[in-house]
Amino acid sequence: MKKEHSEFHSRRDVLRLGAAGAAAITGSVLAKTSQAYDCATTISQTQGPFWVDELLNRSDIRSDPSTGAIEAGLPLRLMINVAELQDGQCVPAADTWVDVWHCNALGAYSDVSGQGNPNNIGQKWLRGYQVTDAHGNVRFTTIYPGWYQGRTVHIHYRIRKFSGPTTTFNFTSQMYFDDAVSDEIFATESPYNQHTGRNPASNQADNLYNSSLHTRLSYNGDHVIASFNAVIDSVSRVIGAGVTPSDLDSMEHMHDFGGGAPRLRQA
Amino acid sequence: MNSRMNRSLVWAMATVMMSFGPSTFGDVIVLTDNLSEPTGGVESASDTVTFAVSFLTDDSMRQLSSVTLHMGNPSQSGTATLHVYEDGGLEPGAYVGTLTPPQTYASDPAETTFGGGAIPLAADRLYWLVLETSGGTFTWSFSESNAGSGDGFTNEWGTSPDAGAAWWTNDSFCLQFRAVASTECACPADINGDTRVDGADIHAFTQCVIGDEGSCLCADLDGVDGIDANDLALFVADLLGGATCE
Repeated sequence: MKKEHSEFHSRRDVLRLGAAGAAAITGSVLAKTSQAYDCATTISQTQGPFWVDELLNRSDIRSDPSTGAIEAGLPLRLMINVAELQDGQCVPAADTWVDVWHCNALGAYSDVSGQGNPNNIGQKWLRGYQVTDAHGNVRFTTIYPGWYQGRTVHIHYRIRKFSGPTTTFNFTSQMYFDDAVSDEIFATESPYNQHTGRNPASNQADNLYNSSLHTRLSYNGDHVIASFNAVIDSVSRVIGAGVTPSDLDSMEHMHDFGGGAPRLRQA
Repeated sequence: MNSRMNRSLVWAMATVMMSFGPSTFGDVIVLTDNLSEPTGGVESASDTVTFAVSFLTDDSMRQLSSVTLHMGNPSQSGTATLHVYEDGGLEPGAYVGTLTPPQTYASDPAETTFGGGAIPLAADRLYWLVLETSGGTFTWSFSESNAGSGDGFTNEWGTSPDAGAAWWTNDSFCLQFRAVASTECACPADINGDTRVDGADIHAFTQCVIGDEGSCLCADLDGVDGIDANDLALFVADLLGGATCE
């Protein structure tokens, strides 16, 4: 069984180093150390040309709702935590919409056509949203994303808050995956291995890639488990009541096919 | 008067040492603890919805003595069991052992200790604690912060909606718990921590002898660093004698 961790060991090492340093100071075997995590807002990135506000409230986003057909690919269990920056501290952000959308194993998006994408209008696989619970969490079941020309492996996400029908916060960004994991999956798993010629083949070769947007990731043979933490500052970043998106990057592609201003939440 | 002052002074010094000194209490050590962090809310466990938290061991072999969860049992019914698993890659992996549940549970979340354990823990390893409940509703508090103490604090937790068949895990606002480990073997030659020295320990002891990574705290029977022929002779003697530590 394949098993590959990403990000995880380095985090463990950091924790261990922190404790070792404290132990050296106190001269004890194990020192009581307090470990706090930095709370910094997540950087925004473009929503790209393939955003469609499908308003699909579902945790398992693998299927097309009209046919029930499930996209082929390695199952990915993705947990996203949304935290709000308050007085310099991270606290769980409840009742926040989290949309995710990404390409399938062969690099195509649903419900769009053109820009290198086949005509998949009317299909809605690999799209959906969940609303965070009191803990700030949403869970998705999807497949490991494939790749398409010019981009490294990524998942788009949008975080929104509403006051009644009014969007009060609207943020888009992307999350990225470890190259070694992607390379192994693309080489060995079907149907990924039917999609050849990946170039660029690395995160570093991608113009948008940012290491702060990495997922924690483990390839456990018959599935991948991943998590991502997003920190928002929905209060200070609102630029006007009802004015959305509050993040200028989100406006960049508003006239692209499949993009456009977000529809308001349906009552 | 002086004697009362002296007692106060000693008590104050002890308190200060406890506050700033190592998190060791006798022969036990606190591997991870976020119980003192503010609570942000609760997760609810049921027959199907299961929760887990992870912790790390340091560079020494340990035995897991007890784990305290900030949990409640609003239904005042059902049972809760706390299992230990190896890491399966951001999720629980192979089963290691089970701690003894308390006799009763508070309705509202309170510190609840699962003890009676001598579960062997290898050095520099990540473990998962999985709360399995049956026949009632149990709540488990989560922290409102990402802070915690102890060398083994990971801030990592997970949930499974299907009784552990599939897991989603994360490292934000961990569920609140404290894991305490022993620095000494509670039952020499009981390598697998089931309180008996029997055939089930042979394979684990062999692994310790050949130097495989493992939980070998109870295999070093002569107290001399390393596990060698001297320990083997003592292990065989214990094995033939059917030693028990219950």
